[in-house]
Amino acid sequence: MGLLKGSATLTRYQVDGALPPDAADFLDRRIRRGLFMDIEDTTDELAVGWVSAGDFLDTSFAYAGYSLGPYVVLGFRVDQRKVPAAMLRKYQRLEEMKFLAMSQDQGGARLNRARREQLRERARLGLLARIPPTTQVYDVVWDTGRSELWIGSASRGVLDRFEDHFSRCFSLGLVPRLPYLLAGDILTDENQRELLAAARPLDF
Amino acid sequence: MDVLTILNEKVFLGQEFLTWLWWLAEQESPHRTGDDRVVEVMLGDHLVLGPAQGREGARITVRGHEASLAEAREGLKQGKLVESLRLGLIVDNEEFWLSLRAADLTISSLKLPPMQGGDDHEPGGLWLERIALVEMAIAALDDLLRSFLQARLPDDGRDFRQTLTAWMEEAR
Repeated sequence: MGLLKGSATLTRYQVDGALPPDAADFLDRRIRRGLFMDIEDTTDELAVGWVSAGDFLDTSFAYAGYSLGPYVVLGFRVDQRKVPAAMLRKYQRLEEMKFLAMSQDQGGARLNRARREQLRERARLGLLARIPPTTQVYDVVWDTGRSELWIGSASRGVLDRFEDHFSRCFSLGLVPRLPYLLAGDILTDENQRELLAAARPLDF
Repeated sequence: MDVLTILNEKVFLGQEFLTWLWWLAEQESPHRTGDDRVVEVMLGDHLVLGPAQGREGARITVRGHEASLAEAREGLKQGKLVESLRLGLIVDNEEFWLSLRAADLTISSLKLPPMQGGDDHEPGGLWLERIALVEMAIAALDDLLRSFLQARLPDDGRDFRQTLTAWMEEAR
């Protein structure tokens, strides 16, 4: 989404940490460790992982298809199931009615708070099994030569998930290119860096 | 300094940079950067002003060209600075349009110049061309940030403040 096609959106990061000498093997191992695993036939609510940037159904990466010169180009796929609140309320009520009807037959168990929670969870799991996940894919371009990385999203929720997945896969940190940090990298003169650290907001 | 502290305490740098870009578009474009790159900067049709760091107040959002800039200038008068804007850049005869956010310099709605590769090209080749164009836009922005810092940092920003204040006064 939003980087390799159409009108681009991107958040920039500095990759914190160095790749090992066997960078190509390392990257291949770690990318495969973090591949996207389908949750279509499960009740899982969330799955994230790497897919081909050109085809979100492709996780084979034949011939290291993620490698493009100095760049690693990936898709970060996020599949998510969400049960709408109104739907959950409806199915919780249906579960409660079923329970009350059965308990009357068996001498009348009460519908206390714990029981309601239990029925709510049962309704939720039942719905999760029937609701297909939604899929979003965000393009990722990692310039391994300059340790700069872009992802095609500016959404905080997506960025949090991406940062977490990236760090777990590659054991490398991601530092967002905030103006102050970027300025520190751009300035080569130590005096200017000191001025930057001391700078305070101007009163216009 | 952690990221959260920087977001809270250094947001002024992004606001001042974007406000300077507006000034640059009106007063000193095309701009020659330190490494001799010429960048033409144009103000687009979207501008959001918000309270400067440490101040409170409402945001002002303006859309459209000259007609609504009067409202944005009124915002400057109230001590507000640019939070996000739409910007055009011309670098080496290539034209880019993008929206930029002061807090984190996130780029959105980046419109690239037309690509040379046709539809029958391999995706890898098209991606490389596209990446090169995105890099070109980013390099121009980094050059502009460097120019901003060179103007802003010396002398506790006094000259910089004076220049921008004069422009703001002129606009009033």
